Amino acid sequence: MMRRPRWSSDIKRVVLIWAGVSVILIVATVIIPPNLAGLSRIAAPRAGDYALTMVVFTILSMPVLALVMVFALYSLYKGRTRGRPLRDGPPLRAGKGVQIAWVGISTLLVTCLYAWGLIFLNRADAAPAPGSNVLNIDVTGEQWNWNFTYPQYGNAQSDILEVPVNRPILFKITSIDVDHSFSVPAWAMKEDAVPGDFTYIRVTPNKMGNYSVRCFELCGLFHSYMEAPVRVVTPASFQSWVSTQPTGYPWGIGGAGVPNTYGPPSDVSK
Amino acid sequence: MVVHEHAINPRQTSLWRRLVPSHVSGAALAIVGYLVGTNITSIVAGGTDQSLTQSLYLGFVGLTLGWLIGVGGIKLPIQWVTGRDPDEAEAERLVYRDEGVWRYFRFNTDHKVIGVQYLVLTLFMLAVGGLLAMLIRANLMFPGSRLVPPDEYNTFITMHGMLMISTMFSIIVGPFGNFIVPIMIGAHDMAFPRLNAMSWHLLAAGVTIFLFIPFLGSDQTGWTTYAPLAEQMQAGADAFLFGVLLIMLSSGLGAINIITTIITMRAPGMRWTRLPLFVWGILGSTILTATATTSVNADLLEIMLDRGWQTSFFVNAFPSGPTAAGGGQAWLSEVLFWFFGHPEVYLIALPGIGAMLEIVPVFSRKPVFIYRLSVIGILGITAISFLVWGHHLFVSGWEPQLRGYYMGTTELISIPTGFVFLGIIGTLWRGRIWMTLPMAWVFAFLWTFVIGGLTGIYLSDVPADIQIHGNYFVVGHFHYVILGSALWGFFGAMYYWFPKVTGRFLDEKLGWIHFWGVQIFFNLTFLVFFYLGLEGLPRRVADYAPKFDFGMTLASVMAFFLGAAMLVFFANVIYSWKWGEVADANPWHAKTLEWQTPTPVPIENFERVPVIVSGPYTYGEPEEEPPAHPAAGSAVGN
Repeated sequence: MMRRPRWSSDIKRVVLIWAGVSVILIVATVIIPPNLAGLSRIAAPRAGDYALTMVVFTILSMPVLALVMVFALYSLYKGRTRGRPLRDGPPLRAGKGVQIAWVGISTLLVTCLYAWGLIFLNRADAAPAPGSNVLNIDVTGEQWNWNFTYPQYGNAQSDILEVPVNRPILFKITSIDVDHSFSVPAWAMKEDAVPGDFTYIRVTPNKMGNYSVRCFELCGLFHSYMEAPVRVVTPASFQSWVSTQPTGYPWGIGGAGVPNTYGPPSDVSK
Repeated sequence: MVVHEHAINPRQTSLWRRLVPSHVSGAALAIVGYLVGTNITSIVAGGTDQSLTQSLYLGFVGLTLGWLIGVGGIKLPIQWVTGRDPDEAEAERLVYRDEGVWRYFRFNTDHKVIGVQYLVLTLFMLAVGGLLAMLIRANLMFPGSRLVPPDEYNTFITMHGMLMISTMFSIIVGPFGNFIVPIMIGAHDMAFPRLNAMSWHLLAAGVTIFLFIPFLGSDQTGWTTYAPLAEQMQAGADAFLFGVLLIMLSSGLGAINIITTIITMRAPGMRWTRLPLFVWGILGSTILTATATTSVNADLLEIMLDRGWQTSFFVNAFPSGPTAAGGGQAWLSEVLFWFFGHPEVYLIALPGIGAMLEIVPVFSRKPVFIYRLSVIGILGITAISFLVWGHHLFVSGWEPQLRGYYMGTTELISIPTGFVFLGIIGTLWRGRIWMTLPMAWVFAFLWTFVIGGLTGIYLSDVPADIQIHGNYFVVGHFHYVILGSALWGFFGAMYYWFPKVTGRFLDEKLGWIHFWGVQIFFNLTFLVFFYLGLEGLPRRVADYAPKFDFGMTLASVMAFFLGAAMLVFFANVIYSWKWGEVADANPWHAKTLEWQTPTPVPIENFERVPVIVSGPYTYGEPEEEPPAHPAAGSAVGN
């Protein structure tokens, strides 16, 4: 038997509690911590997009978490019996309204998330306007360090990734042994280094400073230590640095001892 | 299998008859087979040049064959193939009904015995995997601390990962899929009882070979065993590859058995619309197992061939081999693995989801809120799980144009997952909640699985994944989803069905200590992983920068407490099996068929085939008769 008047006020109460808990959770996870776990470390536009995505997704997730837990715990609080219940509960089954609402809202949410993801994916991958001064850098991962080659500067070679600020970069990445993953967390940028193939990723650093490359694919014994320093400097500083680097070391692109049966020329802009 | 009353085995008192064929003779012949296999080429070909890898594989083949011959399992397929099927007396003998405890140490075709064998084996696997987790966290307690060298640490994480995954996909399907599901659908056994026993024995052999890893050398690839890293590894990788291959074969064979049983052996009146939701969950999971494991089997075999016989599936040149490109590609290993790997994690989740959907109506005394959408949820997850695997490859550089598509399918799968939540929450709403231990794990499931699922949404967004792929955020996510669905589902199933399997309750006090200990310390251990991941800590690292030390030390300390809570569970199982409070046939007053049988369940499950006249969740509805005719003799009324 459904005691409708008593329980419909329960529904109102649950919804209010749900709204309150959602707000508290959002505030707790998004607003209060001044530095939400690395989200303030933004040194490239794609990192800013990433931080925005994380914040928005958290704002959308907290009400879902609250919905599940508030309804479940409220039902427990209201319906809990001491020992085995002597009577059964009401044989409620979902009406058409609940079904349509649930399916509809979840589909709508997923569609919005998908659209958001597509928009930001295109922004991250977008090639810069033709004629902009793209800096090509070839990255070669090996067990267990990184090598960087600047083909536009006579194949200048370095263990340190030094780049000028505000200039679009196209990385061409490979490995000479096993899978690695080339990532600069401060730029929200990551792409695997695959032996025998080339992978590509773009970034435009917009903040000067020192960061680090870390390897994100388990590659054996010293995977934990496979790092390289990153320095984002002024264009003039970069120019003078790169001209002092040893040249002529085309790592991973037909260099000595490295098989090169794949790959277009190094100044491709993809 | 019709059983005649007079076909009873004579008392087998001689020691020889007890030991042969049994697990004892199986182990003995396994050792012999291993020694023969590792040496066979030198015996046959007189000491010619032979790589360690090839002889190891042959040794493992010998071990497995010796084990199966020794337990008496090989004889049966040979008889079947040569047309000399065993007669009824022989089939009856394989159930060893008069042997008491010893019948669990034989190649036994009774699904209830196999269920208990699975329970013991999977609990053992869980314990070893948990021990490895403690070793991992001990090593990560402080930055710079290296209790073991990095290659041993990497071996720990490889073993922990694969062993726990293997445990999670067997831990509900094995014990409860075997013991409970046939009874739940009104069948007297599984469709293929001898194949059922074979599955368990293959799993035992696979786990044994897997545990050779630390003794043969390190294996540093992680559970995903990407080539070409897998091909650089020492001999430990061979034990990994072969052991896992056997485990996957075991699961695939078991899955075929369960699917056939569910489709063909339901009792009259057990329509698809009256099937308990646990059976739907098992069905979805076994469909995925039967199809997806073929992909990883191919991957494992190809890595073995690359290692032992110098093929080039995954490498395109060898430093000391042919200078021409071998034509292989590293991406192939990732693609083959994840085509299996994604359905894998859903086949892990579905039995737990089924168990939760099964438990919630019993302890809310209400029908399932929306049976049809719950089934669509399970089947939707099953179907879509084949379409999403590319999300593991978002940053691999493999076909960047496909990333948008995989993002779409991955976000899509959250819709059927949501139906499951609607089913559970709707059943709880206005229910009369009987807060027992099985029900407690339902609440744990809700909290844990929703957090895991939501963090999965972050990972499904490609630009976000580019940052959080391969770091501790992912580790937090998958521990939440896997433990939330499979492990909490297992605990719920254990506390729920233990009285039916053993006739005793698990101790309540220890059970609540276990529950709260696990909930508190699991969350304190793994919530911090999300923070660490956002801070940029890569996963699978043996050492880390000092800025991560607060989170890592906290996680390690909490993990040790989590381990202690798990020890309470193991103690509870061991104690309660022998000395727990005795349970009657239907202590939870549930309406599914397994609770309408007496405890201990008779060997044919039902004296007469039951006829089903309604669904299993008719709580609160006026009814003239219980859901099944009292065909089982002493069925207990509600």
